[in-house]
Amino acid sequence: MKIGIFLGYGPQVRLGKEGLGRYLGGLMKGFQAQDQEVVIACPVWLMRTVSDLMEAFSIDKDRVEFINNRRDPPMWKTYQFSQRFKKKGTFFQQLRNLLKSVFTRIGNQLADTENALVFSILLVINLLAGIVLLLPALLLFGLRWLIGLLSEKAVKFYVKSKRITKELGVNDWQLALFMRMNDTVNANLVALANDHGDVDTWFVPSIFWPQVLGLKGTVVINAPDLVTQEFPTRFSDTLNAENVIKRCREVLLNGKYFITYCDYVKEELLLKQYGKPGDLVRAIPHVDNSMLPYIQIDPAVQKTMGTARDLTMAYARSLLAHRKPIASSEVYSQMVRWDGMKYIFYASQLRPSKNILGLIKAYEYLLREKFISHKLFLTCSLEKGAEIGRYINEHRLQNDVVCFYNVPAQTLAALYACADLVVNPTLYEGGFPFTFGEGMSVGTPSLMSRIPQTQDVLEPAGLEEIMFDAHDWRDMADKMAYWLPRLDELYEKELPLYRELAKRTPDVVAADYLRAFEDFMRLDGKLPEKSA
Amino acid sequence: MAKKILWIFNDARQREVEVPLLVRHGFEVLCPKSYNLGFGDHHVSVSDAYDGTLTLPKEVLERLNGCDFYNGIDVETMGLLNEYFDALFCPPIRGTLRDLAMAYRGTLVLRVVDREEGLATTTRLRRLNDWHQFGDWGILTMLDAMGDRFWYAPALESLTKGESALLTRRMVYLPLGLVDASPLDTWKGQEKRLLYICENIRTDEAAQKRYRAFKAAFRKVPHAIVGGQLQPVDDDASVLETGIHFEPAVDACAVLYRHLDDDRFDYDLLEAIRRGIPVVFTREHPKDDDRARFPGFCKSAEEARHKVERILSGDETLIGEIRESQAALLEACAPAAYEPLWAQGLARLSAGLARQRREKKRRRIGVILPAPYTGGVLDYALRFATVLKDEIERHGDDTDLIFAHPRHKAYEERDYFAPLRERKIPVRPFGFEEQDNDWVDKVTTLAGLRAEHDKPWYPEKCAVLKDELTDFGDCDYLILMDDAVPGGEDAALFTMRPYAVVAHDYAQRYCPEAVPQAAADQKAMVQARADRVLVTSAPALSDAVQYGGLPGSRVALTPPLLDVTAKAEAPLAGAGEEGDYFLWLTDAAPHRNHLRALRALLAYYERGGSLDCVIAGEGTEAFAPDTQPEPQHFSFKRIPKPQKPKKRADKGDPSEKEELKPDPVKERQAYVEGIRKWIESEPLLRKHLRFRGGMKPAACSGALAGARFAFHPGYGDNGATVAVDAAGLGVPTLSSDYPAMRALADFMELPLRYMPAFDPDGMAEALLDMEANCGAYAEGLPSRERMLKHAYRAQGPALYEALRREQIL
Repeated sequence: MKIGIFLGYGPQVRLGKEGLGRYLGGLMKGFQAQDQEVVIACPVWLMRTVSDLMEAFSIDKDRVEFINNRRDPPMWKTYQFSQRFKKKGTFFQQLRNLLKSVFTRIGNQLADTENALVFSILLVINLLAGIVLLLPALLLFGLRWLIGLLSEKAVKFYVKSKRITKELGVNDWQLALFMRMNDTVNANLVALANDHGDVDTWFVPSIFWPQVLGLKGTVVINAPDLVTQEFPTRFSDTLNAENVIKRCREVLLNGKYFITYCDYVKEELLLKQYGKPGDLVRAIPHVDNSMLPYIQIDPAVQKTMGTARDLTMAYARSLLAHRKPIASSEVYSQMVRWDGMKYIFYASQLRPSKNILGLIKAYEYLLREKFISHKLFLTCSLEKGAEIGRYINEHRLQNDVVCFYNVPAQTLAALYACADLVVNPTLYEGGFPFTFGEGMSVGTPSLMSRIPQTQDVLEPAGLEEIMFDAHDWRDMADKMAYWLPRLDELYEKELPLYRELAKRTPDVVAADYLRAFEDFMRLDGKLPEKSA
Repeated sequence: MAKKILWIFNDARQREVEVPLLVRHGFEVLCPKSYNLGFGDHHVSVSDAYDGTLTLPKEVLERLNGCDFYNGIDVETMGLLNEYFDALFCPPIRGTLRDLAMAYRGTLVLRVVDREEGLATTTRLRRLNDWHQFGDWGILTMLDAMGDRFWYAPALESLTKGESALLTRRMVYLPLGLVDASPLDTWKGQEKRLLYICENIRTDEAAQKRYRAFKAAFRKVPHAIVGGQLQPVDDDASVLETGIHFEPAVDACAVLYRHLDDDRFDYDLLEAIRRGIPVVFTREHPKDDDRARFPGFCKSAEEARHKVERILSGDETLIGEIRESQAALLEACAPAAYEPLWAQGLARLSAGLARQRREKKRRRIGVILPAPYTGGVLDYALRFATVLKDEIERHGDDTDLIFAHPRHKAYEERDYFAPLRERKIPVRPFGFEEQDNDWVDKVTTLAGLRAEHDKPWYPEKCAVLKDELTDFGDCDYLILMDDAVPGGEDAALFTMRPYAVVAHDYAQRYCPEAVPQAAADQKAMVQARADRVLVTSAPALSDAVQYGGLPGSRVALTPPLLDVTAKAEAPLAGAGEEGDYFLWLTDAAPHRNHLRALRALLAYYERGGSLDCVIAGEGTEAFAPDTQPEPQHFSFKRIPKPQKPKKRADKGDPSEKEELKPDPVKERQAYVEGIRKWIESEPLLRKHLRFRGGMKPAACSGALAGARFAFHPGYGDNGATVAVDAAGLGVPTLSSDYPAMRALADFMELPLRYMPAFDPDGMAEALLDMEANCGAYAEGLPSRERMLKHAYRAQGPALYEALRREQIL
């Protein structure tokens, strides 16, 4: 089978850093392992992150076909160029540094001169040269300033006259332009993909791109969730959420085949709300996202080095020692060492549905009233979450609630491995949360919120007692207080379930997808019906 | 007798060269048998091959063979080193170097074989961890204090440059080399492949970068990769051998590509050259020196690929030229090249050993009270100094003690330091001076501690201790009695002296209102740069690691220094208080849990409690109803400094920042006012509460002696000493339940009645119980004699032992 994967993300996305990206990586590897042909349609600007991902997952690039737009839109290139200029420091600073070094050199030369006549000649020459040099530099500076001013005005005028902002319903003109650019790129990509012709099934891992509705052939869309609809007021701060959800709804409404990560989303979102027939939607649970390979030291090496200590854990700790987190208090994060600390961990981006504030409140209670000495490590960016940042500052938790933002997968694995306990307070997920397997794969047990997506998995496994009421941080705190002194017991309790979940290797999950693709193609009449 | 050397390295290749050289020059050498190094060094191993050269008692050898010298050296081991070893070769590991500089009495050779990220060794020692730029001069000062017993022995030409005067003036250049640099010529090159050596591809970020760069440049050239790996590399097509023995690959492949690093000795490259393989190499910063003239040298990866392709296509002329030129590289590392330098260097070292004075130099330790305290911290400091002085004299140590305190009006009004002068401890007042980064650069350069071009970072201001004498330059070591720094919120304490600091508690963690954020950050800075952080309880020890972020090896547990009030010496019971009452000793600070305690008191009286509550302590008179609030009526134990506006503009919305940084003085006033009003509105509280404000110690003991029990509803501190004072007078205590209080009670063997700190109802119940049963609780208290066993006068040996263990004494 020839499987097409459509990726329409904007250029800011780094696939390897996101759970979904790693998921895709595992899937692609699984497809390849089962000798399926893979075609990837993506904009040029994603090529770098896609190939990084493929490298990280050891996917044979030569066996993957790519469909790209020919080149990045000039507007994106211009923007990138201007950013590069910004990073190097202001123009004025550069100019000043240049002049400073030139003057120092001239000064040194003059100081080295012993002959009065030579000195005078040099002085005059240098003065003249200085004037000649300075003038163009000043002119250049002025010109740059003028161009900058004019170009911004021009763009604003253009936007106004074209009424793009109104057309897209977006206020911010930069965002409006960006969205329009991204849409055009995706539309072109769809046209290119249709010209390509011989793809059996198109797989679209997200519902963000309505353009994919124009793809020809069997199009299978992954519908993780529609979380913004569940928490409308909490997502009201999220930039552009109202436009994104419009697109998602369009895709949900007009798409034909869907895959979800769990039965709950299938039933509630696709069947009940969007009235999709059951046979057009398939729920395929997550792959086991084991963190162990990132940090495990080759046992053979351990043997030859003749050392008894557990090198894997020692390596994980060393990764933490060398990592500087973003704590709210800059001074503090400069000073301290992270590798010897005990902590509770939750790896998640900052989304209102993740209930991170609830976790922080529970932690604060345990720290300040129950005197546990653990820290709370997170992976979100506090700068982006005003509400949480404010809470942490007002309650003076900035030295105990610490964020390791934007860490590579290896450090993430180390964070899981060195943690005492993983606590997932989420209110809503597209499937059974990754955090459980990610922690257990490196020996760290989890406590989780009681939501349908976790109940579906934990209750049959007899793990009711590791769940807490997500809407009540006191219940969360009580559960944490109970289990913190009993971590080994908790780990043993969760191990049977993890062993079960760990069987969902990328190959197994890929096989599930292939089966779904085949079934959908059969419904489209592209494959003969299975004989009974 | 032959001189003995402890050579603290485990690299097998380095050992093969250096140890036999040392032995040939007449030294006996001990190599470590245990190592706990970083990761990915595939060439470390242990060897007992040289143990035969040692004339050590068997049990000493056995003991030392069980030691890991890479994570500091304990007192017992240090004793053996001092007894048996004349010199030590030690890598730049901060913990180990620190212990050696403090306590080793022989010659210390700082042997450096590489440079990390191009950093000078001085800079590497100064930095506390891998990223930050804070200056920590203590360890350099310690090395400086070793005088002619310290040597810096770089192994490469590049390591001799850019260092501080401390290192350059004590430098002996002992270059690394090969045991045998003669050509082997085993190379055949029958496989038309490029060979690349890259270790630890998946576990070392730098190696990963090199690997990717190589892959990018030579993707289309047939290649093989060898080198030790900690994690399997998913590159079956090219990774040949993941062990450290890849000689067959060198012999078989047609050409080797190498990226040169001037800051490391490249054994792999030289061994490959010995086998005869032609090498094409590039360099990080192409310099115009001898190597640039080699035919194998390339300015860019592009040029390298071009040459590699020529070799793979069988360009015999180029192969011949390259192979011929490589002989010069081998010659530079041959024994003939390095042995004369070693002979010279070791001769200098030996001369030093001969005249080395082995007796311990007289040392001076400064006990410093960093801020103008008059309460508990001052008491602690006075006890600390006197007890320590007694112990030093008892052991007959060559150590002088001085005491220093900030100049302050409070100390002029009353002479707190008379007991110290009686004990012949010189008392030195000092002031603080604010300085900036440029000033730090200047003085550290003058002192010879700063590497060229090193830019250590300090906050905008540094608080410098000025004593109008040597600015404590005469002290070998300082012990700060508290972690606070006066002199502005964003100032960092600056001293070049190594220092220990006492962290009494981490109240800022549990009661953030106790310490403003900026002050908490200052405390963190003082502690992070301290040589040792001294704590007085197990919970504080845990907080030092968990909150202070300090490695456990730098935190030391010392005994609390408490006094037990003598019953007989106490003034008459009651001291003016009448009737039945209990005493609540507190102050007006907002982190004393007043609100919950007052609610508990109200509930207690509502449920029929009959004892009055006497509230005493600094500023608490302002809680009394019907008092007019005076601005700044309450007093701080520490004198607050006026706040200056910050120079640096914070990013973001200024109004929001403003909101987050409230004025602490105003906030406290509002707090006190709130409490007062609340008490005023409750008739039951007005009836039963008596406000006594700040009391003199004698009056306070009197009030305590007359009380039915002491009430301590606070938490988050390091345990309240009121419980100890009360027990000394035979009065029981009702206290909040928190780890530090339990630790203190356990230490003093006090049976306390505990109550929940956050539940006013539970507190009220406990108060009722206390009222009914305080007689029984009082009977359970230990005798004064038993308590005196734990009082500060009895803690001298324990304190001395703790400091001894940390090698401060």
